Order: sequence, then C-alpha cells, then structure tokens
Amino acid sequence: MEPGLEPSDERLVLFAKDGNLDAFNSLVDRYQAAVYNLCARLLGNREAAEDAAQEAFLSAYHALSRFEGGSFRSWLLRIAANESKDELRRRKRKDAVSSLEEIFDRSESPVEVPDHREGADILFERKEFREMLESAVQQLPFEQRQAVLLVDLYEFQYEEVAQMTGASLGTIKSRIHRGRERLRKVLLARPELLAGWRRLEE
Amino acid sequence: MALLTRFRKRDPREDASAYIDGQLGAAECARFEAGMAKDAALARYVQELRGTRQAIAALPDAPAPRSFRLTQAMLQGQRVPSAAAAPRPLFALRVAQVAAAVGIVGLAIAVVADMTGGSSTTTSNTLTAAQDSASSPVRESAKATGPGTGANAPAAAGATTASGAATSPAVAAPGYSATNGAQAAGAATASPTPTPTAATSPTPRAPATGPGPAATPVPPNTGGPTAAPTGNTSSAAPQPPATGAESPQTTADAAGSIGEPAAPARAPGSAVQDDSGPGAARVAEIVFAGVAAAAVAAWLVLRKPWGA
Repeated sequence: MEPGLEPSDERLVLFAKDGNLDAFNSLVDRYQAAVYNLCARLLGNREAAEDAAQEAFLSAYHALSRFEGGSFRSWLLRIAANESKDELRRRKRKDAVSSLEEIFDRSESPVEVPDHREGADILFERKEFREMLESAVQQLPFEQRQAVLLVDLYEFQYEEVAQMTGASLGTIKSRIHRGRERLRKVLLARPELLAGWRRLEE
Repeated sequence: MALLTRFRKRDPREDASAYIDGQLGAAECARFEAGMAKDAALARYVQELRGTRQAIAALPDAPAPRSFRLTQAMLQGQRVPSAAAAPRPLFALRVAQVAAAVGIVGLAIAVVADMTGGSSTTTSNTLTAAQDSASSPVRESAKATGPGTGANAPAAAGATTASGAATSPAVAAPGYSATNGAQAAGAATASPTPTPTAATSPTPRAPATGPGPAATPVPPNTGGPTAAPTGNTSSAAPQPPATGAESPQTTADAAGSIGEPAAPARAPGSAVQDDSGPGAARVAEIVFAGVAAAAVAAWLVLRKPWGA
C-alpha cells in the first residue's frame, strides 16, 4: 500500500464484516484515541475509560453486521458513549480529578517545549486553561457532560444525541444549554486565561 | 401547571445555545436576532456562549494509553481483560512490596539464626560475662586500639559476610538482642557504613541499637566527636535505646579483649555451637523476632502501595 493512500473506513468495514480482523484493527488504530478520550471525559477515570474503550471496540466488532453505513466514527463513538454509561454504572466514581490530570497531562506534546519566555507564558496559559476547562467539564452532571461533549467536541447533531440517549430533543437542548452556561461561568471567572486562549485562537 | 408554563415569560437566553447551533426554526431565529439587536447584554451573552463552545471544541485528545486492538482470544472469550488486570505500575508496586516483605522475613531469619548462634554468650555464658566485660577496663583499651586489633575482629568478620546485615555493627555483634532483629534489618540495609567505623569508636555499638534510623547515627561515630570518650556506654551512647544490645555487645568485646579473637570473629550466620541447646529465652527471642518480622511483612503487603 502506498503511503498516504489509507483505505477508507467503508472499505475497511467491508473487509471487517467478512471477518478480517486486521481490517477492523486498522479502524481501531484510527479511532482509538477518539474513543478513549470520549470515555475518559465521560468517566473521569483512566482505568474505567480503558475498560470502556476496549468494550466499545469489542461491541462494535460484534455489531458490525448491523452497521448500515454512514459515519463509522459517529457509530463507534455512539457505542463508546453507551459503554461509558454502562461502565459508570458498574463503577464508583472516585479520584476523578487526579485521574484526569494523569490523563490529560500526557496530551502535552514534546514539541511544545518552550524555548523563550513569551512562548513559555503562552504554553502555560494554554495548559492551565485546558486543565481548568477539563476540570469544569468533569464537574457537570453526567447527562449534561455527555450532551455538551457529543455536540461541541464530537460534532453530533442534537437529534443524534437524543436518539443515542433516549431523551427528547427538548431535553437535549436544555442539557446542552445548562452545561454550556456552567462552563461559561467557569471561564469568565478566569478572564486572563480566557483572554490568553483567545489570543492563541486568533 | 402546563398552562402556567406556557404563559411564563421565557428567558431569551435559554435559546442562545440552540441559536448558536442552528437549532431554532426560521421564525424563532428571527425573533431571537431581533432580541439581540435590542439587548446588548443578550448579544454579549451569545458571544460568550459561542466562545465557550469554541473552547470545548478545541480541547485536544490525549493519545491512547495503550493499543485497543482486538485479538482472537478476545473474540473467542468474548471478554476483554480488564484494565485493572493488565500489568500496571500499581501491580509492580505491589510486587515490590511483597518482595520487600519476603526480604525482611528472610533477613529476620538470618538475624535470628545468627543471634541463635551468638546467644551462647547471653544464655550459656550468662550475663555475668557481660557484666564483667562491661565493667572491665580492658574492654575500653581493646576498643580503643583501632582497626586490626582483636577487638575489631568481630566487626571486620561481620563486614565480610554476604548478608546486608553485615553492614550493621549491631548485627555484627554476636549477642544482638532479638527485640531489635527487625529493626536491625532496616538499619542494616540503610547503613552504608562499614563496621570498622564502629570499632574505632570508644562506644561503638550503642548507636546501632536504635530502631530504623540507627543507620544515621553511625556516621557521627566515625568522626568520633559525638561519641563521648568516657567509656561509659550508657552515657556515651547518642541513642537512648542503647540498652538493648549493650550487654551482649560488651560481651563480645570482652571476648576479644581476653585474647580470644577467633571466637568473636565468627561471621553472622556461621555455625557457632550452642552449649546450652534451645532454652526458653532463646525460644522467646525467636518467637518475638518472628512476630516482629511477620508484623512488618504484613504491614508492607497490606498497606496501600506507594504512589497509588
């Protein structure tokens, strides 16, 4: 296979449906970070997130015959969200904050090591901002957290989230708004970080 | 109730998220935008909410901590090994704890074996020998002779043993008290100071009888200034709990001082004959040492792993 010519999801799914485990594992490689991060953010616990992610891939493999096309990523993330909810039922939530620090500290890329003062300030602000936001997301009730993350971070439509969670569209709207409103207050409490983040976005 | 809700004045801010996400119908959208045109606070609120959404959307993904690839075993078993069952740092810490516990028990056994051999000085030779030697001026002179003398032989012999306990003067001392067996294990492993330093001190072995931290008092002895040159072991000892091993050690010193370097020069763990056989005192010592070692081992195994 030529580099840069990765097979499409659809093609890999077709092979996987025929029992080709390697093809499915190529999909695993492609989406394991997204699946794991969704689980981690929903569960707030690394170990639980690993279990949920692994279960999600296993469930997806067994449910492949029911996949009728569309976005494989969305379908997979939907399974991961459901597995996370199941995992949450099975586990007590504890040490969430420390686990989150452990989880997201590693997202700092080595290439981001600052080499001058201004860069260090920006990186520090960015890291602090991100940690603050991740922590604030964790403080949301599960239903709000799930709705906000699925819509804002994973770009699901309201209708999809409603279908996924079994809640009405109005409920989903309300959850998203309440969740964002809480996060807005958290961000406004640290205007200097928000300003720094906006500088980076510009 | 439904009627009341219907006629309740709706806060336009509640539609802000739906507006941002394009979830409002055409009529609702027009109404909302008209409201923003009239209400600057509402317009600012929408901007803040939009910024919040963008911030969430910009959250980066951490790399997956491990591969989640499926294996045939997973598919056949239809059960995924739990992350908790996978090798983790926590598991390694637990293994280290168990290893440490086993090591301590082994060390305690070695100490007890050594002590059992040396207990002839405490049991068969009785305390009189110790008392004699403690009061003997010869002992003081023998100790002060420095390395290479007969008085140094026990310590030197102890230092040559393979056991980590050999680094502890207390363990090198033949009659080391059983009550300090477990403590000596900790002290011995922590002490980088060879035993000859103890022998060069006028009151060499008293500090070694201290628990755990007994390793730290050893270096001061090498310098000498902290050790009183009085020859009174109880007053010269910088550590209060010096009494436990004082008598047995002085017994050993006495043995050296009376011209029998070979006897005290036995290495810890060497088969030294016991004249009296297993007496009640020795049994008590062994039992006590065993209980102490078991307690330490149990604590190490059962406590929460470090860093967990």
